[in-house]
Amino acid sequence: MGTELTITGCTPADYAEICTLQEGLWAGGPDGNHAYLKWKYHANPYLDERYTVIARSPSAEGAELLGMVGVFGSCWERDGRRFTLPCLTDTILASEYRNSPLFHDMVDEVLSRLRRDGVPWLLDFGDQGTVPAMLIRGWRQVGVWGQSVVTRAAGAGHHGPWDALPVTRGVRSGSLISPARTPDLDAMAGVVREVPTDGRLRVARDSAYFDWRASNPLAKYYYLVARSEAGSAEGYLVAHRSGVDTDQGPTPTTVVECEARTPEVCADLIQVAHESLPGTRVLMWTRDLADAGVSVLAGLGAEFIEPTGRPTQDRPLPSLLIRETGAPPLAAGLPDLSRLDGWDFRGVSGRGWR
Amino acid sequence: MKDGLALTDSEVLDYVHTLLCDLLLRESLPADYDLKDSGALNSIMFLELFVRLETQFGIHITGADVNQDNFRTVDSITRFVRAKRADV
Repeated sequence: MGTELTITGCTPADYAEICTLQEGLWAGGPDGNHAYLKWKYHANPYLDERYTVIARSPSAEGAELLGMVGVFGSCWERDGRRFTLPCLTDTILASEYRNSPLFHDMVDEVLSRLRRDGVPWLLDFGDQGTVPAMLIRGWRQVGVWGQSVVTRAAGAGHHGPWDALPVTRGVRSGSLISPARTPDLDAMAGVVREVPTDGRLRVARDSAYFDWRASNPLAKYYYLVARSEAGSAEGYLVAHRSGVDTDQGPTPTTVVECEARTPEVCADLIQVAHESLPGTRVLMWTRDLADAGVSVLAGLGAEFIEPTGRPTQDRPLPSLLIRETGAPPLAAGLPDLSRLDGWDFRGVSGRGWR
Repeated sequence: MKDGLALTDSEVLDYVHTLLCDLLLRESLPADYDLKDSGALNSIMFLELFVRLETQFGIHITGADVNQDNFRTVDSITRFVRAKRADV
């Protein structure tokens, strides 16, 4: 330490070294971790790996890989216009560089590259474990929001292949709810198109997006689609679990999306999901969730965890940080991104954009 | 040790200095030691800092409080604590 490190862009040629350096961040094994990097940063439909950076020791010391910060693309829409917003995510540091400026130096390099290219913002949806340190370096906290936790007995939920879950009729909407292991691209994209926007910024979801996310090599996905008697798609729900945990293992199951044409369909999907998904804990964001959905969760014995505004209490809750890069905000049509009420989370209940 | 609310301003400074030394495993810190530039405090350490300040001084630290004006140096943290105590 003390000699000048080099911070450069990351390419797929660096992936093998990155997988060797990280110690359990992804837990997918060498092949799984490599596939994850390729999926998240190279195959992302909105942004390639151009803003992901790595740090190396000086050439004289072998140019050894010392760290990486990842940046992937998320796509948002408002009033028919789409915006790609980069998100900070996976951080890897060699053990001797933890609690050093290296993480921040790498983020500064990301910001410099974004500024050079005229990209005005970088987001962080609670991915980093360094929120306070980021706040004192100029990041702003857009907000923290609540989530529900339904704790179930070991062995709860459907046993057997997910797509063998029987089709059920929603008690509120009367819709027929069927399971799937793969996304029904036409039905899901169709529901999103039919749900009216409300002037806030929401995650853009289309076939390309659903297809990409379903290819995450380190996650297992569970889909429910609600249809009318006539067969039209009325809503859908997506949940995920770690792909390297068992159904009853310690990691939570997260409902990442629940989009529906009516609150009744949404409530029925939430009920079937919480009764059927694997896992001893099922998490779901509650910001923007319709009252009917909240009632279902309450009836299932959910614990509702709401933010207190105090970092010491709110750390496990979902949050959004934003950093201005210094580039002028050219994208007319965007709301004030630093205000939580400019973000529409009605249809998303987890970090569903990756 | 006195109750946090009864501490004088210089005792607050001493407490903050000692607390940061504990967290950073150092004997002492220069007055201008920069938490922003050093990157020395990780998330867990910051949360430990907040918990101990909240407990000792009977204050609540909010997300909006966490910025470089308030948490960059021993002096800035001390000023922040004094201002928060005045609000209690």
